[in-house]
Amino acid sequence: MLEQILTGQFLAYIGAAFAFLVAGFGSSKGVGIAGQTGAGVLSEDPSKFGSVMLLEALASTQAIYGFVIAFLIIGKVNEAMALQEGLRLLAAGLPMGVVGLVSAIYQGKVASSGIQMIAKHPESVGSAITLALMVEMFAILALIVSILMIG
Amino acid sequence: MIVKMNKITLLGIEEQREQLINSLMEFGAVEISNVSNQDYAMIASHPEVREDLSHIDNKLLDVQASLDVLGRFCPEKKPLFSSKRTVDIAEVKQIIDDNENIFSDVYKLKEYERELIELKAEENRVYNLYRSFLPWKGLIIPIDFSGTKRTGFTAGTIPAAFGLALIESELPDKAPLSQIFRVNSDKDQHYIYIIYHREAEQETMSYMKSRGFNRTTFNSISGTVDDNLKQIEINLKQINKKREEIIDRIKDMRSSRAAIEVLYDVLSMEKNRIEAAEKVLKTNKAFLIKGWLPQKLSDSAKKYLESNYTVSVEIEDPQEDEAFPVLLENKGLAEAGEPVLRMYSLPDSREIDPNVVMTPFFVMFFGLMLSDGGYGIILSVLSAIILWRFKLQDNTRKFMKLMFFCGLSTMFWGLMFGGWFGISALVPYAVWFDMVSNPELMLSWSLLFGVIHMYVGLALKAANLIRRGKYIDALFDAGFWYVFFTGAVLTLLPYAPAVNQETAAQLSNVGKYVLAAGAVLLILTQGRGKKGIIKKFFGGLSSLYDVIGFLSDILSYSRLLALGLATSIIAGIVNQMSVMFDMPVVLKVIVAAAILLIGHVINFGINVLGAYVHSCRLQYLEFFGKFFTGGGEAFSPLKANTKYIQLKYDAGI
Repeated sequence: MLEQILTGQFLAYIGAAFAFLVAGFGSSKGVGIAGQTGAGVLSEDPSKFGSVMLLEALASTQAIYGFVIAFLIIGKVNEAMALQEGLRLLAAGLPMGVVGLVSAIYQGKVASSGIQMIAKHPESVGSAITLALMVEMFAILALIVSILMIG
Repeated sequence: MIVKMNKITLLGIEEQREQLINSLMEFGAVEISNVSNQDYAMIASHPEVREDLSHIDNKLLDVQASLDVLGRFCPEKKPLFSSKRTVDIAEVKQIIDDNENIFSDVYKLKEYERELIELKAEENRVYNLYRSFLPWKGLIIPIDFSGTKRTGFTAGTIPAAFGLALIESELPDKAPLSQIFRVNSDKDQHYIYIIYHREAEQETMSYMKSRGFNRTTFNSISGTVDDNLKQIEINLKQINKKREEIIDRIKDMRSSRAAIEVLYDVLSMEKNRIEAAEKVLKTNKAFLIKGWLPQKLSDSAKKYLESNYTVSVEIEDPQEDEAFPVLLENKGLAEAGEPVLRMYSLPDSREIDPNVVMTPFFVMFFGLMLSDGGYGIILSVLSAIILWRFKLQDNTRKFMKLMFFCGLSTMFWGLMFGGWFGISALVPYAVWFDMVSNPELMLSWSLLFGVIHMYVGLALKAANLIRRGKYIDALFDAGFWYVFFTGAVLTLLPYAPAVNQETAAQLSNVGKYVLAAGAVLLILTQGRGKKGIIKKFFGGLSSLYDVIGFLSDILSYSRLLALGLATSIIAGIVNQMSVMFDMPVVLKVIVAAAILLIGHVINFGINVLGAYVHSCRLQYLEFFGKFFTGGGEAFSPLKANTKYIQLKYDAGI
């Protein structure tokens, strides 16, 4: 029974699902945090929509990376897959999922503070974006590690 | 390039001061700086302007408020990229002469706004009354009725929790000479009235109170509820009608918007003038103005001012270490990078403007990260159309120019990697190699691009030092780092993916010696600012730690691969999804077209945004971190600083 479920194919699918589910959850939360702050700032000054939107969107990249990894893993899956091969793909989904989750949430928080900053100093949108992008670095490294593990 | 500035000092007679400041404003290229009066406190002072300033601020607020009212009730259709309307100086003068009429319009608009606010308050009051009457609809007895000689009448509510049935069954026992009637109920309470014999008033009321009865009174209102409701509805209609009348009257004033806008700008120019006057130093008979202006305009300004005014004009170069206001002037590609630099910081007045070097890298990295030639075509065509069709403000125009070049660069990299809207059939025609199937190779190239980028940054540091004549520092702080970093890169080469291991191993052996040599050189030189041989040694030693920063900076360039891959993979997914569904042919074509359109638009949007912000970041942190000081004060000359109009003078200087 267990052998029938625990195939290489199934494990690989878990890897794909994990990469997207977890990273996607992080992005939803991160964008949500920034979006709430953004709406507050916009209610005071609607003309800041451009820069607020830019900052809010930053935390959405983790979901995109998770999507890319999920897709790459699904592309490798076939029915006759060995168990080890499936486990390898499952492992490949982990870095993107976990790092995506945490970095998206923290990036959302930094972006949220950045939005508050541009509410007071509209000219510092450059530094606000740069601060939020520092967090993005780790998601990018996770993406590359996952890609290299998929091979 | 940073424009060279000259210091200008004007010494003239007081009665010409205002006119001369006007001329400077028309000229629009002199920044007036504050003259301190501490050396001349006995004889000279700044003009007293506080009163004028607050006066004009109040006027500006009024005018702004009237424009807001107009904007709210007759919004103007604005083009996507708005530019200022060009207005002749003659027309402006006419409006200044006519300003009393325009101000009366302004105050009329303000008055209308006040009336609207009052109507809103009145409407709220009436509407609340309406709501308090509504549950009593159907009560036929007038509400100010208090009973006859022998009977009393009281209306009120009881909480729904008590239940009317209970009261109705208990009432004949507790207070036989009374009768209860229900008018209405909602989920919280019953609306009832009681009729009782005067003699039974007390027992009725005390019983009812024990059941939560709460008397309802309508202050000084008479007549039946239904009559009142009708009257309120009429009132509400009247309020609405009045409001519409006022809005119509506001709309009728649409035609005066243009004049009010000009008035606003005239006032804000006046404000600029007064603020400039505050920086001037004056005595009873003379005034002193100090400021900055671009070197190339110095001669013509001096000639004009001296021939038109009784004034002494002195032009001089800034001192060796004196900071001057920064004005950037670039052409072609370099000009396009200015918005990116400006978002970070203006360069210090004494350093090299990095635009010439930065913009090509920005454009190159943008292209690598967007990486799909098809998207590049769209980006270039869109920005070209905007540049061609719209009259843009300067900063927007530069930004669009940047996007145009970024599109071209994306096309180039699309050609190199075979990415055209993610169409897999075109990938084999890649001039260089396919990024998606060779991510390791692309990673190595990304890191190499990063090393080159940062080496150029170090070169700029050296150039800045050489410009200031610090040749030794250039050698120690840039040259030796080259040796050290190159050693580090060569030593770590075998760990880079997709390199020829044999060559890498050989280079790595050489690299170890280079690294060691670089380390020795740095230990010897980096602590040179410190006192004492031991502090010097440890200062040098701790500088070696920077190699960690350098290596993590290199890794940061892996985003070139990551974002490039994301674009191509998602574009490919969109294409696959569009033909995934089994359907009749006609429907299939429609669905496919819709998926392709929406999918590619989203992918384009997200990745253009991503490529832009990440390309910015690579400049700000990895590149600028190597050499850039920044923090320059922007050159802000006294000029017509307008919001709505662009002034056209008859003749300038």
